[in-house]
Amino acid sequence: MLLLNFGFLGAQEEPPEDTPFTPQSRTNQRSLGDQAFAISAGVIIPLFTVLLNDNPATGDSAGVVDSQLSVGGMGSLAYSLYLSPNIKVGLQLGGTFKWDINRNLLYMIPIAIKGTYEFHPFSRITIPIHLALGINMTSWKEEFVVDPLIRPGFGVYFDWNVEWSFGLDFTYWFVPQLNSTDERFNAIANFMDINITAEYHF
Amino acid sequence: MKKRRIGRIGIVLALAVLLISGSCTGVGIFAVVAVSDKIDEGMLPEGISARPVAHIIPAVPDGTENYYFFASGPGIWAKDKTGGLWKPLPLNSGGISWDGVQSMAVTNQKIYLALYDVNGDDYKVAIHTLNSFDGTTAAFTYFSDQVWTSNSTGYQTIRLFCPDPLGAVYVNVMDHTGTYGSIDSEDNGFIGSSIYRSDSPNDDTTWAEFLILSLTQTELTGTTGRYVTGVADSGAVVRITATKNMFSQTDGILLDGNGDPVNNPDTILGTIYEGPGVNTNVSVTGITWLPRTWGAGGAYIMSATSLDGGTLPMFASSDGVTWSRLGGTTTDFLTINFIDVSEKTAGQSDSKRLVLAGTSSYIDGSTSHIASGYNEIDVTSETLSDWTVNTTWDDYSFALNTNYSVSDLAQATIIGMSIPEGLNDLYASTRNVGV
Repeated sequence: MLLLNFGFLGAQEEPPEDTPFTPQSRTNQRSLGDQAFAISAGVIIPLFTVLLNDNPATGDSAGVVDSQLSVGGMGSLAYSLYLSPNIKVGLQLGGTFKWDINRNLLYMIPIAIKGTYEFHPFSRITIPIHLALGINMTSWKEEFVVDPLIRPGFGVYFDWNVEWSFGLDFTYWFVPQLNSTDERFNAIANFMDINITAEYHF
Repeated sequence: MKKRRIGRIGIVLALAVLLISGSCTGVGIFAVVAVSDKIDEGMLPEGISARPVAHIIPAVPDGTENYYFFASGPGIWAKDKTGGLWKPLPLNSGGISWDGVQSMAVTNQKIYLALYDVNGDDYKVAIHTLNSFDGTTAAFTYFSDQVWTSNSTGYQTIRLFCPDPLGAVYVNVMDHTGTYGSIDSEDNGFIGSSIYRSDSPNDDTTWAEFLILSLTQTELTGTTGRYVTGVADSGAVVRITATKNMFSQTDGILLDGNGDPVNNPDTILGTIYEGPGVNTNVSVTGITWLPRTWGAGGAYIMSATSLDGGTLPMFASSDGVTWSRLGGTTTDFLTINFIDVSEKTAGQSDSKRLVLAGTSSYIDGSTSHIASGYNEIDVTSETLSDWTVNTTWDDYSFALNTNYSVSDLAQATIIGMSIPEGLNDLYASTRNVGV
């Protein structure tokens, strides 16, 4: 029995494997290869539209004008992969809806590659800043167009445990619409979204 | 290794973004929305189907001229010219509270109405005129000497036409077998019709003053029947278009102001004559006369009910005998009415002279086709066959794309369009999105 016990202790004292084991000191500590899946819901707020050309037909001059869109709803899904403890990249698919002044629905479906840098000021607090680049599909009445999309933003997350984080994201939308069949209607649309997000890490 | 792979994927996706967004053009949605106007859909209860907006000036103006009117199935609506809401008028005429309006035609002084009443199995319809309105009460004249009353074997329905507000009123009295069912009954059991005309509609107060036409045209009084789809009056020559029944896409016929089939050089009565040996009986959904007083000469224009030779043709004629076939569309909608805006400022945009053509949805077998608001026809050329039909919203000249395409009008069935006398506003009355 004693020999058996010695044998057990001896096994415990074997040298470690090649891959060093780093104990996790913080709830929100991430490492290369970690993955995350996030689901978000919130609102999208039209800010303003920049007309790029004078339009004598409508009497509008180039410049900033009211977007004439209502506040709408938004939802999105995102998958990310950590490249380092602070950097992750991923793919985000979203959907939004809002109304114009004549109660016609306007839909937008953004698909973007999203890079995020995460600050971890506390063990359970993560502050991500992110930049998404992609395409924005817009549908309104019988019209459908695809435009480039740039979305910078930041968030504040509480890391509930190692797997789950919950937080708020604030994101700016910059949508240049430069390919109109009538160039008088080229414009840059500007929005902001505020989303509540639940993120699962694995 | 994994970072390098992700980097490559990123580059590929970025290129895809540029290619996809660069290759997809269209209307500048955000700019169009940002500069569009709020469109007032007419402040009608949802689903009210409206006929053209009318304006009359009695021989002795009494305030009636301060109102606009339109008829829907259940009644007549009026609105003060200076604004406000459309209000329904009670249909009290001849001591009877009538149930609804079957048809309406407008002279310069009066509104002719076919009012119907249903009580149990009893149905009747009669001609009335609305002569004046004081903002609360409408004064009617009841042509009580002729009331078409249903019996066990059949009933009648009425369609009214007044192609020239200063000219004649035409009445198509249609005979049906069976029992009256609803306001859609004008196509049920249709067996034939008669057509009548009043040459002094502002003076008439009885049905006896109407003349019956088509005494030699057996198809209007015989068993095959004809359904009048439109009447146009050049001031000298009248053209009446008719089909076998309400939704007939074949067997159209062209009649003159006496209800007789139009003769042509090929002596094939009632056909649309396009030149020696080229005659067609395409049915027609609408016809109008364009004065073109700016110097190009007056012309008729009419549209076909169905595709013919791959397109939905329109026809134009200066004399009502020889017709030029316009390109038309390979279309999803019917063209059912016209309004001449060629002498209005907005109808002369882009150096054109325009006529607007209202469209209608329809069902072709099991396939539904939505309407498309209106199309633009450029009638500038003195050569009728050079006229072009424009169905592309983005290239419209009459209304800015920014305002037109945001309104429900762009997909509506337009029952009729009108420009009330002396005004520059065009009213489009639609099947289900108001005025």
